[in-house]
Amino acid sequence: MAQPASSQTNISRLSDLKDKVGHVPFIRRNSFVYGSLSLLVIYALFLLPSKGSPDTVDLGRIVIFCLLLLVWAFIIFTDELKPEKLKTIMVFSIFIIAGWLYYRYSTARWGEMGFLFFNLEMVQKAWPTLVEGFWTTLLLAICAAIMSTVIGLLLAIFRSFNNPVLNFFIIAYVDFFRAMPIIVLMMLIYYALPFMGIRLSAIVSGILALGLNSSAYVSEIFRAGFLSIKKGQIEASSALGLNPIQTMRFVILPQAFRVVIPPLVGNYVASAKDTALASSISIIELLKAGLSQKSLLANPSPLIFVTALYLVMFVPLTRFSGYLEKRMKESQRQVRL
Amino acid sequence: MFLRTSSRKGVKCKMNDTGAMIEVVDLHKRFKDLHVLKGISTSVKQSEVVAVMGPSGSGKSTFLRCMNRLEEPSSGHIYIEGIDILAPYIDINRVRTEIGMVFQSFNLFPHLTSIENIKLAPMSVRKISDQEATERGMALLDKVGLVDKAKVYPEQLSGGQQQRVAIARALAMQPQIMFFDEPTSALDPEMIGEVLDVMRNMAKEGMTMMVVSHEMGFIKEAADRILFLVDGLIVEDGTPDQIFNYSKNERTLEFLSKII
Amino acid sequence: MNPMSATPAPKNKFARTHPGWSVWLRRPSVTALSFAVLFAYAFFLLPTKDTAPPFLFYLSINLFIVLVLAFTGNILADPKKPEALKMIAALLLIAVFCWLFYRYSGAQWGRLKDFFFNWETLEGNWWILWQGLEVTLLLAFISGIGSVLVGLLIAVLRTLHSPTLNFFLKVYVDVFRSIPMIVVMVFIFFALPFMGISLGSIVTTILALSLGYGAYASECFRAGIESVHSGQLEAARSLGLSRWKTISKIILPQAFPVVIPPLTGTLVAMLKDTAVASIVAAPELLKRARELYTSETNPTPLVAAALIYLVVLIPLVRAVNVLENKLQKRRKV
Repeated sequence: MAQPASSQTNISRLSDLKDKVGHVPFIRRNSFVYGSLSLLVIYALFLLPSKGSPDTVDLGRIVIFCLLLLVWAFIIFTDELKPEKLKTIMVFSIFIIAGWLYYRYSTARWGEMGFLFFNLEMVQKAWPTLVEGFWTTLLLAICAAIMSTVIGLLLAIFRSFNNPVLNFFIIAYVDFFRAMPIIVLMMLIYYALPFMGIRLSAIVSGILALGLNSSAYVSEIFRAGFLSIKKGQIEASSALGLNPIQTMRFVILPQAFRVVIPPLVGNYVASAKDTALASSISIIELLKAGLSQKSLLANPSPLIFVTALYLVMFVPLTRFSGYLEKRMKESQRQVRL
Repeated sequence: MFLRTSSRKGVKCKMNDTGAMIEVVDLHKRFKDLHVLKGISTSVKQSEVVAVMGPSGSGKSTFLRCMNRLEEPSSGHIYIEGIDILAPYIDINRVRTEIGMVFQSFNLFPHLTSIENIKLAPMSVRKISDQEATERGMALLDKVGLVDKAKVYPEQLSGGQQQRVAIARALAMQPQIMFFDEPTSALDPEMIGEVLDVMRNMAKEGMTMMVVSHEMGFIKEAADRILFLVDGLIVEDGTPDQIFNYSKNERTLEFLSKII
Repeated sequence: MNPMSATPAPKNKFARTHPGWSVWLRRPSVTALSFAVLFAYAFFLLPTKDTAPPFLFYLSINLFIVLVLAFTGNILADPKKPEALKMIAALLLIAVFCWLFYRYSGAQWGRLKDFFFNWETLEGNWWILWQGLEVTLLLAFISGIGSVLVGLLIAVLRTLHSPTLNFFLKVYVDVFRSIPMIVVMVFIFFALPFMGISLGSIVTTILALSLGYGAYASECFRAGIESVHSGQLEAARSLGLSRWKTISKIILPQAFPVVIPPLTGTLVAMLKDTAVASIVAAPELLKRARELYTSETNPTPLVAAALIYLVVLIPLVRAVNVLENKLQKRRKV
């Protein structure tokens, strides 16, 4: 291992290190940061086109400027030794520069921005329709959730019997609805089925499409829950003398519940998000309400408001389901240890 | 923190030539409000084998991990061959190539075979050719007695075999110093011997080693010195004979009575 | 052991103390009897097409379905029943559903051929659907690359552990995971022009899909990177590997198999969501099919489009399933 010769070379390598300890790679030096910053400023001053809508060449210059800026920021961000304060300042200044570039080169009429985008008066005019849309969205989401839970649970139970004939049909069902885009399904139900004499109202079509699609996912979730219970658990509880109902009540359900709930909640949230697709079959849900009011009032404020409302509704829901999933993973890890 | 605030201009390496291989001066480490290392100072000479002992939570592992900056020390100085490795803009990766480290949980790369595990660092850091790296790797595997396991993935190896491959991997960089962070405590008892044998041979060949371990037999036989850590401080520093037979420190005696 | 005989004060302490519903339910006589009851129900209590008042109509049909499910479930769940009987029960269940649908859906089955599978309406029009499919696949391909790039960039930036940057990246991911894709598209297509940004429908779709699914992809990458044990990083660093060497030689090869299944799933979901682009008039498959449907006043093009979607997507959905099962098995080992 440490023959005299090799340890000799080792030592010479270390002294080699001594000459190099003061060495800082070029792109990590402060002079590089300042130099490139001043180059960027010079670029901005002389090469960026003047105010107004840009032509192709100008657009190229702007794009190159943005790319240079981002590369420069990336170099600084990957340096562990740069102070965090500098990085914070950089994040904000990039936002400011982006805003400034947008302000400078977009053809937006800035004077009318308030009128166009954040016009509370318009939102007020659209309010009754929007409220109605909100309730429709809620109705769609809840009905689809109930329908998908019932169908999904039944599918999962019958799948657990392991009957080849039933399994074939259940797998076909699940694959069919998982592969079919919801919007296509909605259009089939709403536009195509009436030709066969099956006339369903828009709302029912929407619930049906959402519920059928979601039921395929729900059945897989429940199946995974059933499968997650190890055979040993059932054996152990029968060894303790629990009867099948007690086994179900005290051993299987609590365990399955923990596995099933997080993805189930995630699925309900996803399906609630998908209600927005119902606007394609002229159901006046939230999105359609915003869109129709936008064209009616020739002002995008209702649409902006609706988008913001979706954010306000779904950010907490998404976070919540993410939190549940994370907690489940952690508890599983603990079990494994 | 020292590292972050120091100016970048005029970086000169600080030298501290006492002739020792490793020199630690007043090393502190804090995790938020937890003060783990409370000022450790010691030195290790070339070819010395130093065992670090102490009750759990005394900061043994943290001490070792601070020395190649897997944990950033909060303050203090660490000189390796007289170079302050905490100086700003020292290329710590170059320092780490001179310090081999063996972990409690082996940490072999599961997507690479044994020989690939060994070859990886020499080839990508030292830029050694594939052929040469393979030759050296096979020689090292021979040394730890695992030539026939060269093309095997870590998950197919036993714990003891994995740890021996990990030692070979660390040796492949031809380090001057080896750190062992509880190398045998994750092993089944019948596998401990094979790993300790490899370490004993290294000690005989004159490798500078720091070993966190409670293997009394190995320490008595192979260690030149024992550092006894309690609550982030060195409470005793002496030869195994002094510590095992003549120690008067209460904490040491208490600890020794528990592990013997 | 006969459950009934055990009721009078048993000397045998192992004897049953209650009649045992499950045992009773599994007797052949009970099975036969319940089948007879179901049969009678079907004959006498199920309504004919439009006679009954709506409430009773639905109630009796639903009750019938519940009874059929309970009956077949009872047979299928019994490990002692012969396989042949289970087969019959399964077939019966499926037959009952088909029959109920046939009888009560109100469908005029004679029209099926004329309106759903009337391939004559598509003669000379197939190229329109193919063109639509091409656009769909192209959209999916470009936005797939876009979302992978966005996701990778976010995941790499998150490994830098800068609190400020992380905050904004988290906001980005949260926003795009929360808004429905259709809302993003509608917003870009209908609201941004008021801000002086007018994008065509194709660009809108690609932008919306890349940004939206980039957020999902970044979560896949992050999960993969986090799945690599921290000891691996320490080992790599103690060997003196540089940051980029550690990423390329240690993290990525180990994260790759963990990332691929969910990432494929995300991309398949994205392919499905290209259909939403028909809302912003991107000329993809669904949009072209709807145009044909309007001009021919026949839903066959819609059915054809749905079939094309199925042919493309079912293998992909199955592939994702296989990949995920493999990953799960690997994890268990």
